[in-house]
Amino acid sequence: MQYTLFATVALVLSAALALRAKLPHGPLLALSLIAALSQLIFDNIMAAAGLWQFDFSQTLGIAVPVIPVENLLFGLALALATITSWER
Amino acid sequence: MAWFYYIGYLAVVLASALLIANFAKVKINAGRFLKALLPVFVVFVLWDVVAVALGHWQFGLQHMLGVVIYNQPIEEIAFFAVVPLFYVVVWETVKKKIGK
Repeated sequence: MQYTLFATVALVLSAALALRAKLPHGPLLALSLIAALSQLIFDNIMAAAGLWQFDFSQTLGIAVPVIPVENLLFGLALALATITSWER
Repeated sequence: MAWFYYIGYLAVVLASALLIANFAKVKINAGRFLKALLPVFVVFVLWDVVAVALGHWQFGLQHMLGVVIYNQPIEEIAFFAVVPLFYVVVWETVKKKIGK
């Protein structure tokens, strides 16, 4: 579950930075939802096609439906880190 | 299954960002974006390098151009510039639409 650990730490860190930067909560929520949704669609299509292959033994083993749930945390961490840096 | 899959994915994300920016009349300053991108790009590319080295995920190179720098296909490196641009456009759009 090493990927689980990496993704959780990254998401907690980037969420903490976003909150510390006092970014508005409404847009933060909307961005997170759009980021999660677009990943659920596009990343699943691409993972199903074999662009990325995940080692599920490094994860909790929960796939939604093709990508591991950790990948969603990865994507959310990227979204939050990006806009925190953008608003700095 | 073909070499253009990943570059096509990036093109779709980029086109979506440009379309949203156009419809929402959002302008992104290139200099500000590059300055904001740099630390995020460095951290996430490093994460990707480590994750591939540790075997967390690997790439289906048959769907890519085949240019690999260290253990990263160039599409994967470009991902960390294209996707943040998409997020910044979405961010500026939702801020505009639902207020600060």
